[in-house]
Amino acid sequence: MLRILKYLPRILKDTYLYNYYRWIGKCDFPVSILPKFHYVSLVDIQLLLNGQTVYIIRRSDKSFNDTFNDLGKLREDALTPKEIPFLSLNMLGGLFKPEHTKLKVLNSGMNRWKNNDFISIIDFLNDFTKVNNYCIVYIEANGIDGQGVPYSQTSTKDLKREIDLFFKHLDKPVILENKYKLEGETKLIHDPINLNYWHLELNLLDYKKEPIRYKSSKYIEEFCKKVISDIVCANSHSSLTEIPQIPKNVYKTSLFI
Amino acid sequence: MPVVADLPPMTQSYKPFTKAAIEYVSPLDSFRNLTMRNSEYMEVIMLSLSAIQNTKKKESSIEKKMSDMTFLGNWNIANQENKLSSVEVNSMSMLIGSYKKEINRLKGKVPTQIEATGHIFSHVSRKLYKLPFQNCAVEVNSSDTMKFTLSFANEKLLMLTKHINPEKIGLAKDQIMYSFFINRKLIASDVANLEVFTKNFKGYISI
Repeated sequence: MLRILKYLPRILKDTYLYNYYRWIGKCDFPVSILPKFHYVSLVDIQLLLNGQTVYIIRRSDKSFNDTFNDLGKLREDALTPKEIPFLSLNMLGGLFKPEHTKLKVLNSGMNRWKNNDFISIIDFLNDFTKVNNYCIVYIEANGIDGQGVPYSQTSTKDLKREIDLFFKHLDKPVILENKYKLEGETKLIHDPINLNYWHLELNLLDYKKEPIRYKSSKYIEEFCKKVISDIVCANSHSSLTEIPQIPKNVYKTSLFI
Repeated sequence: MPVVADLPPMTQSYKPFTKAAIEYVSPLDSFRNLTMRNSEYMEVIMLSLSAIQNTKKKESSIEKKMSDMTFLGNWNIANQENKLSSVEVNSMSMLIGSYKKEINRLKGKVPTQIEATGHIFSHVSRKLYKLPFQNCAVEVNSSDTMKFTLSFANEKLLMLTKHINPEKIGLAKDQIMYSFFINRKLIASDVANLEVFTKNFKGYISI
């Protein structure tokens, strides 16, 4: 069945209501960044980065001087280690523009967009707000995806068992001063949410390639600090002269299927 | 009254107090030779001297430490090595300029951090000014660290982190953490003795 026919009545109703709410000043959300039913449900970021340079963007609620240093690089304390696992980012080069960073998505607007659902902004009128004081951090996605992060984790009974099992047929990691020398990795994941198709997440993967969640642990704290300093700050910019465009076939499918 | 904030910017001329400043310097022969020899270095010294002159006014201990630190830093350099190249003088000016900006940013936020970082800046900058960097940034971070980022020709970037209390994380007093990037790609990252590292790095970067 043609999807466009399935959603046509809702599209017409939504267009009418959206224009009405805009006219009475109740909704000024940029609908261009909403997920559309004919979009690819998940963009393969690694495949995209193999072919071109992509910039991503993040809002900093701090002042410019508290966000950037004299070289226009992100300051190390502009981010906290706690924010690093699943760091929220937005992909540029498609329909997300730098000025859209002033939007702060709330409540169900932040839920993962699933099953190529039809999204109407009318259902989310209370799920976003606008931030007045902010600055924009540009980050080169190619420099923060797939980066190795060496880390040391104190040997415990459980960890030893896990490592023995995982490296059963591989060279075991070195132990120095009762700490395993391991290597993690960073990975960018496309994470479209109801009110923003262009949303990405930075995942930190441990030696097993499993995502690391933040908890009060020395090795996680050090891992996150390394990611901030050596990966995010090093690839950050306070401004960009040009934003490379992402080809439409990366995120769009045909309307008539 | 904020003494540091009242200083004239580095690019302005220093006519109003040039004569007085040189008279003030006169007991330090090597120092005067330097000021007479190099106009750029003159700016750094004038900045220090004007801070010292201003100390006659009522000032906070942070500002006094700041002006003392800058003055002593340059005085030591002048004594240790009588012949500084213009590149080294320029590098020192950039480091001091960036640190002063950072101090101004922190004023009223975390004055305790300013107090703690003065001697660290002095110690590290006296090693770093010898490197031929093009631009630099000094950060005093909330995690009790000072970060020095130096950018070199051909997209080379060096980040040095010095802990205010290195013993807390098991580092020696003279150790720093460094990360070196080419085209934003991490090439090397480790802990090293500051003096040995800067000496070796200068050898590498000068090739």
